[in-house]
Amino acid sequence: MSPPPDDVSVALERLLARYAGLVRSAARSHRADEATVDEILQEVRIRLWRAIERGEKADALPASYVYRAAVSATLDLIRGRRRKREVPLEESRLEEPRLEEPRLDDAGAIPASLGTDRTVDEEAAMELLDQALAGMVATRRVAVRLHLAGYHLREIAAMMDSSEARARNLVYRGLADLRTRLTSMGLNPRGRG
Amino acid sequence: MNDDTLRTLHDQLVARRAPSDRARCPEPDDLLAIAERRLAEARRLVVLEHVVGCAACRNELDLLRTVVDAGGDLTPAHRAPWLALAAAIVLMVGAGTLWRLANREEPVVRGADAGAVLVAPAAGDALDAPPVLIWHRIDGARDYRVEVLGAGGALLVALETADTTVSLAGRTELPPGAEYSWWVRARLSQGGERRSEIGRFRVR
Repeated sequence: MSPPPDDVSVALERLLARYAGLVRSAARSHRADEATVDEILQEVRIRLWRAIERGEKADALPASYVYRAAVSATLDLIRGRRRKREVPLEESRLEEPRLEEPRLDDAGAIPASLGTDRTVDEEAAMELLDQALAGMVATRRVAVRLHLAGYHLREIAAMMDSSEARARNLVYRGLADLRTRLTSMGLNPRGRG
Repeated sequence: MNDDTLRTLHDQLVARRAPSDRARCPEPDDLLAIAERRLAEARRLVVLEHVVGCAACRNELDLLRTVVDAGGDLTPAHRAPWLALAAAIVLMVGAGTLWRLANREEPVVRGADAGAVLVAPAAGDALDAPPVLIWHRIDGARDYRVEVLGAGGALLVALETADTTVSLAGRTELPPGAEYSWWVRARLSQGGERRSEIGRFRVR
């Protein structure tokens, strides 16, 4: 790969550096895997150099071109990992509970930290949660599940292509609906929030 | 039951019911469409429902959101000289107008809801000859920029037209056996633009 002219090099490196900074910042915000992000940025760099070698003008490589190259590189990486059936993209992250995992006491009961007023094992509690979620309206259910998965309202709004106000409404009404359903199933809240 | 308690239960539910393989996972293009806010609502809900219960898809979506959001942040800076010029011109007209323009974000609307609908080639068409690209007219469009991309995402040709069709014959070589992507960006008379979804076709 022969080096492009210096002015092209400088312009491209400046654009790449700016984009890399934005990607890394967004990666922190979205909890994306840093090593994978570095891999994508490297691939973007290679694609842009190749484009210039093919005769693309540096000034015809605007932000939208960098964007498309990054999206394309990311899709290729995802497809490649799926094909290889590798453990994709830090898969273990969600499997580690965000909070300290509740442990069953000697009687097999959910500890008081779960706020239940009856003895019920974890599997039963999960089954009730599953049933309660299944009974909800789809938009509320998805919003609530994204919230419970740790996404912020701004992220939920973006993923659901709605305003932040609507996302907030869906989450809050959805949580109230979910609690009502769990209560009616016997998994009673005990005023913990 | 507070949020933390529900989260703990939900995390356990997700871990316990995680898909055993990726066979039912949505296509990466669907995840990208969510990140770009251009997936139809019914499909979006189905995909998100899966994603929230599938750690692998969640990580893939988070990665795509990262790339998409960073791209969105990158674009305005490259529009800055134009905005500055516009602001300078408007300064002569009046401070009130200037204030409105300086605080305006150019609307970029993507997808079928915006009216930027591709007509032909239809998705997945396999063609014998360089295609004629056709799309629906968009109200308020000053002109259109059509971009055709190769398999690796490389820009093969970019054409600007005020029409709603353009022939690729003689414009660029499209080697057979490959898949190509294309999209249309309508530049609006009142500023801003509307983008189509990405169309795909193959050349036999």
